[in-house]
Amino acid sequence: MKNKSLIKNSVLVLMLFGLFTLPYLASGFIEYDKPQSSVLGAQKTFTVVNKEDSTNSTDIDNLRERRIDIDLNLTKDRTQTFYDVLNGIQIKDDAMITVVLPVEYEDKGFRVAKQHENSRVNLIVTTPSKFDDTVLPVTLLVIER
Amino acid sequence: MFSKTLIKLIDYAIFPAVLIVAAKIIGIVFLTHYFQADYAVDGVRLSFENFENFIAINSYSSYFMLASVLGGLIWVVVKAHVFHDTHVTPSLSAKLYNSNMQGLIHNSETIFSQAFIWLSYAWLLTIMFGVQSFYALSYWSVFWFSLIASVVATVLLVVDVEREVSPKKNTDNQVVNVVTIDQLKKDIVS
Repeated sequence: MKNKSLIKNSVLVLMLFGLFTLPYLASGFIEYDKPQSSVLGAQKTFTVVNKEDSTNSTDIDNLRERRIDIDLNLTKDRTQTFYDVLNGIQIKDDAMITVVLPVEYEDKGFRVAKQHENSRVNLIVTTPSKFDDTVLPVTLLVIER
Repeated sequence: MFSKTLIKLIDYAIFPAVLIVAAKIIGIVFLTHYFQADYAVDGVRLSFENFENFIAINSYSSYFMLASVLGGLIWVVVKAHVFHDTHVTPSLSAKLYNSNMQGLIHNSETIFSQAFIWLSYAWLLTIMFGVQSFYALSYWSVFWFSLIASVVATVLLVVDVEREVSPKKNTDNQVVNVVTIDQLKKDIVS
């Protein structure tokens, strides 16, 4: 009889505990869906750099990768265009250019898009509504044969 | 045999739980439109790709939750200090009976049970906001505001409990007569 009462009251305690956890569950209604890759504008072919994932190693051996670091001086505008960012750097016509933005800047809301204009490469930066950064470090990965 | 106290506590805990969850959902829906944030629906969840938007919506919707708990706590504190049957003022009691609002007067068992429930929610939310702030998922201001509100509400309710446990004494160390609701009813009828 005593055991039965104990079990019944334990169930009540669990119910009370369940009610107390409801507000915590409510916080699960929203989530931050972190982008899978911090590489903006990356195309699937970018993965050919990883030799293990490729079955055509002959082509990969001929690829050459260059890393070009650029500091973009920001103004307070929401959208800013930086023209001909690879000026003076010899790049083949069939080169694949990928823009890499550090993840901490991406988390702040910065976005960088690449724009090809004839043989020039422009970068279009979209800034968050509030930011204190004056310089945005961007890396361009140039992959060419 | 089910414990009557536990059943009462569960009964009192249902409404705050539903209110807090509803406040969070309403807050999320309102703030998503207010910030014009981009989102994707994933089951019953809203996924935000912009971290700034996520933080803002999570934090401000937490304020909605906190406001709902504060509303409940304020009501319980007012009941404990003003509408408590052991120390309701005779004049207020008479007014309430005249206005047929005597249902506002509650006994200690009801008030303390409700206080326990609302305080538990307040402190659980404070812990939750603290964890979220620690992991940079919401603003620290939410946590501090919740902590201050919980501490103040706890102190106010403890003051009422103390008044209940040790009645006020006069200068001659004589216990002051506590007017109970039954005595009051008799006085009014007579």
